Amino acid sequence: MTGFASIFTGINFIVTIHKMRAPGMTWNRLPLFVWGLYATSIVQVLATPVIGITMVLLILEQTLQIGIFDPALGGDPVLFQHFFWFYSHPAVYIMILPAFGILSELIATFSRSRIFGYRAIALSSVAIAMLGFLVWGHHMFVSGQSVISSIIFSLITYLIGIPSGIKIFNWVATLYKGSIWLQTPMLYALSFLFLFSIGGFTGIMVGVLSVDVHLHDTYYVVSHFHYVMMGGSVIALLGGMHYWWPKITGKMYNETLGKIAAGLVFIGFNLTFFPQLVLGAKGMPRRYANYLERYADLHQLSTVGSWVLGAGLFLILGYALWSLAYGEEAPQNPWGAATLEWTNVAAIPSHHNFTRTPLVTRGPYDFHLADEVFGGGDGEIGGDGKLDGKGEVQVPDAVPSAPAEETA
Amino acid sequence: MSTETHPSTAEQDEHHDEDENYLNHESGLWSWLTTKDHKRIGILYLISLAAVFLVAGVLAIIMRLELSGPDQTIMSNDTYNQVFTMHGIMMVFLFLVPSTPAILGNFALPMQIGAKDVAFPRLNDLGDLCDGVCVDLYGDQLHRDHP
Repeated sequence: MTGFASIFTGINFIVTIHKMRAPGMTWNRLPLFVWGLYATSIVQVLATPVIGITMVLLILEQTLQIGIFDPALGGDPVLFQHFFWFYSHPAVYIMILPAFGILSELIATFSRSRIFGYRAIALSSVAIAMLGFLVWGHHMFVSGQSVISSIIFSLITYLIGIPSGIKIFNWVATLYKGSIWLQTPMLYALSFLFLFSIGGFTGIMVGVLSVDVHLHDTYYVVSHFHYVMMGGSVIALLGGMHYWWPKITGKMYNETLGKIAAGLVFIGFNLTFFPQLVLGAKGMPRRYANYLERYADLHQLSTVGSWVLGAGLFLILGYALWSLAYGEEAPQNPWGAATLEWTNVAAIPSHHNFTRTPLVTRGPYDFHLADEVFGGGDGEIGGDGKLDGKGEVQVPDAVPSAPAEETA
Repeated sequence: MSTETHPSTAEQDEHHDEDENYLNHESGLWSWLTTKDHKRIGILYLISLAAVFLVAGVLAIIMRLELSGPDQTIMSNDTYNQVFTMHGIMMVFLFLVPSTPAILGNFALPMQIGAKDVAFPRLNDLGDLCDGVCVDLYGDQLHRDHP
């Protein structure tokens, strides 16, 4: 069922991006979040059927006793591993590519500079999506596959480090000489850069064939994928939720609590998972409820970290609910962002989003116009923006509307 | 929107211009469950995925509690196996895979490219309902594992 939901969403996004762009919204003017989702959708549509078919085969095996994966029936369990990872490795990119997209939005908006290497970021997402299909074997270095295929999988795994590195480099280059505004979403974006880099570097280490034989099925791997999945995807999602929260709910969240929670999450996360890296390197295997006395200290440190992390996440839940009930009304564009959902959509979007279909004449990170109309994102309104009685900003459309005949 | 005559409709249209938005455009549980609005579908996903994240997160805290001592602390080895398996499955397949595209992608993508909605709004809602059913099934399984 989730499989169907996943495929539907993928198809829907691909067709939407191909067919529903506003006039003037060329491929080179797509916000990078859209590029990230586009790459994700390709993976969703191509990879998800494989896990669906695997599940059907598994059901057939169990109900009709046909030997497919179970050696007792004449099947091959390694075949299941191949099928499983052929989906589940690309699934890792389903989880991380949208996070890359969010990051590009946050970094550009909160450092108020044109994104460095727009094309490189956009195309590296697609490159990761494609290469992601060719590396499933690196989960199976100790499954008994041939050494030659292990070496090839290891090599292609390193290749994925290249587009990922390009992204990190471009984001840091965007920050360079930008005027950085440390609001909560930006704190998450900076946390991401740090945590995902650790996740990436530890990934390179387990990608090394000989090292992996030692680290396989230890806490090192557990820690590695939590750095990627939680330190990457979840942190980016939290940043994105804070960023779009005013547009989704029409309310602001409490900025001070937001910063405290971001700090708790960052500290708690590292406290939980960094000891696990050390545990794994010392040989603590994963999936065991009991362990030797010599691992106790690091495990207890990790447990304490999980409480800090939990406290941070519950604090977010708390002030999110509080904001729904008592939050300040959000202005149309609290961050001074330059993408259409902030510049051309009301504070709370109307049913059809736009009163008039926008005519796009500039790239997604051109902050000059956004600055003039919405101020520098520091709450001051410049240009033609005027406050009406309710504290809402009355603004002209920052992007001109398309002539009526084009909007059909 | 329909066009004319009926006074109450006309009133509604006027209201529409003033301060109607996607949140108060229609009300009632049924209108939310059958909505074709990409923004509302994003919010539905947000609610169900936040619930999954909460449950799977609490499972993680429970696992860490068990691991606070070298020997058995709060649960049997067998229960521990079930707890970490459910934590993994729920976090990856029910939370992380759908998370960002389904919540923020649905909400923001059409607006970012200047579209009124996604290309197949009904398919979008169907996907959301599929996901809801799936979460129910997993919840049921979890309940059976821990009666």
